[in-house]
Amino acid sequence: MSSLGLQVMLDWALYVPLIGGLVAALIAWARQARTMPDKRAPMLRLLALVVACITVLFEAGILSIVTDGQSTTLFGLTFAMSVPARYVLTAANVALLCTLIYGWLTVDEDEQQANGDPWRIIAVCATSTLLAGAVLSTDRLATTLLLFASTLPIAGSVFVLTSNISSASPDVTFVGDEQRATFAAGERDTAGRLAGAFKQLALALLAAVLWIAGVTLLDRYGFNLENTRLLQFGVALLAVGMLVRAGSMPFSAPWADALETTPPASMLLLGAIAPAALVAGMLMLAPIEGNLARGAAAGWLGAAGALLAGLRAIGALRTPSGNAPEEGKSGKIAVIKAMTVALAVSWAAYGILSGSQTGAVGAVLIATNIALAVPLLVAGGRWIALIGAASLLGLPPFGGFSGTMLIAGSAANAGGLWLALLLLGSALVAAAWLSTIFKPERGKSDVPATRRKLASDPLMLVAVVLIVAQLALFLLSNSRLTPLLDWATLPWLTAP
Amino acid sequence: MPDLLPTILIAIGSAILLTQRDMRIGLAAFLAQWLGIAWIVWTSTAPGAGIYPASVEIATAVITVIVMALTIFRRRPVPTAKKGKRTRPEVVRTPGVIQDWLWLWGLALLVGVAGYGLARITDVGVPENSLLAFYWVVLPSVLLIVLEGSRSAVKLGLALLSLSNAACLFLYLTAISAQEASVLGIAALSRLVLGVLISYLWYMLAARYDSQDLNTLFDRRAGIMPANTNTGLAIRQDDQAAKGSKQGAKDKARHE
Repeated sequence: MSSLGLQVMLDWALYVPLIGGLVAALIAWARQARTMPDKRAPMLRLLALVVACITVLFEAGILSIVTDGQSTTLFGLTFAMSVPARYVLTAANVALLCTLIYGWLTVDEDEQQANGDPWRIIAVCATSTLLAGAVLSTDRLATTLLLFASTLPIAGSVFVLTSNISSASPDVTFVGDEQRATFAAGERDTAGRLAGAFKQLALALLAAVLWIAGVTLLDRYGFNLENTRLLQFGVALLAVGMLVRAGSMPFSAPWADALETTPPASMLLLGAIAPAALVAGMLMLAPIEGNLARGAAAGWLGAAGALLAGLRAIGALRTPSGNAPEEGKSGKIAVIKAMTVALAVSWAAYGILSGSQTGAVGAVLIATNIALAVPLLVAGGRWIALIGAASLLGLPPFGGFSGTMLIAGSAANAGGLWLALLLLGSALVAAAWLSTIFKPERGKSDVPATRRKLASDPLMLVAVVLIVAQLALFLLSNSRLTPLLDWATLPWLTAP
Repeated sequence: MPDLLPTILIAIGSAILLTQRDMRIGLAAFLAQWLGIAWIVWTSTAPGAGIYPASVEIATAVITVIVMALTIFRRRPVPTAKKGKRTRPEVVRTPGVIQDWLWLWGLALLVGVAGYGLARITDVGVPENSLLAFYWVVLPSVLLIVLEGSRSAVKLGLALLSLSNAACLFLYLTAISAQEASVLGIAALSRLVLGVLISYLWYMLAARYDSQDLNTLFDRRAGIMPANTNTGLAIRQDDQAAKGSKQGAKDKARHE
């Protein structure tokens, strides 16, 4: 295909999700019209889902076709394709697709929340466009702002969907303990949604502020080459901003709220935004001279994050002392799931900040794997979630293994301490998962009953496809390594 | 010294935002701070500053504050008075007002001095006055997040927006070249949407919990329900009698 054709395709990759999302949302709104016959409403709901899915798939397809180095200019900003951008955006679009399907399957047609379909579709499609813009943009400021903007539709949709949930009805006058408990659980869920969304907004803003300051300082360094402190401070701000945005511990604490109360939103946050933030952060650091910036010194942040994730996962299992409220089973599982993703993010962050080529390549592979494993972790039942967790822990024969091995090799070269911290974090998270296997609470599940009822065959099909993708990632890891190793000759990566 | 007046406006806005608990005064102070930022961007000779970004800032500030004001200044339902009786606003005596006042203004002064000191020692090749304005926006917002971040949704929202304004101010004053119109547009639109989302959260908190206190939200998240069930729930009298005093004890324990 000609260069012009590829450029047009890249343009479309940025536009299509937004346009398709709006069309799908309009169809979903049309379903809610009072004049709509009851028979047509389910069909329109299905049509909206199909349009949105085709849109996301179309973008993933285009991104996998466009060759490396192909660029385009839109609104004065340049967007260029690179190997890690293609890998992570394709995988992120798979996570977005799973979000659409999961959101559609877990909300009943008659349920009041089905009225939130348009907002859910807009959130997914807008996130797709904004993430593509953030990762492909060559302007660091645009990357920062677009990545921050990608949180806004998610938080907005959570707020709107929460407002659809009715609070206690004033007509209820005679209630017993059971109703009181149900009401309290509902209130807890609603408060969790609001608090989780607001915390995500605050963290995204904090990361954006750090990145804006870091980018500005790095730009100024170009005019004060003798002032290397400016460069080092700018790199430190970028590194910390990346950890905050991607969600390394302790900045992933709000994830448990999202996982417990709004699984579709958590799939977006953990499965699409976190991996994209990792790769965007790496692409921002890529042109900086690693030796001058002493960026490798920041590698410990990733190792410490892994250890903190392990400690938090184990901490969720203990019985609280004093008057502290005990987390329910779903709350504990949500914390362990959140920490599993945070652990994978920390490994990847270490790989990027270590300044080694194998570490960076491993980080891209882990980021890609996070996008494909999170839907399994969030939407799957007990055993499917375990497969997702095993993949994120880097166990064979799943997709996370090759990336984890590369980063472990890089950490071993840098000294045993960081490797020990990373492995200790993984061991603690694995121990937390093992305790959930051997101490199952009979008759209870972390998936609510309504979701279990509705999330039947189609969701199982999605899970099977994702598991096959995990195995394929493991088997084809060698073929993915070659283009990544060719790409990884960057000023930032000073060690082999 | 063209930066003096806008810097003073920023200082007044930041100090009032930090010290005043009334949300209406806080919003007005926030607007004053933002207009001060726009003013300093207008008058600055830095490559990233100028009339165009200042105009974008003014437009964003006005729209965002209008949206927030519509949420804050909306009419609340007033309890109807009984015949022959006049409802008077309840005067609440809060103990330790002077200590509170002294503590907050002391902190504001301390932050101001810290900002002045930091502006003098920070070496990024930018005039000291410009950095002073930046620090007088960023430090109060960080302090506000620390002080009120777990209590007042209004103060937290304003502090977050103020922090993003500080980042933009830093960008305008220290950038080595003028920003693309699209970058300015994304920055403005993001803050506008953030302001709308924060306003929507305030509205939801007020509608659901009749309060914009974040403690209520976190209590509900922890499963703590209010002792007096103003949510429309009631216990049947005969059930209550059958259960004896057990339910009362449970309620008390849950509330604690």
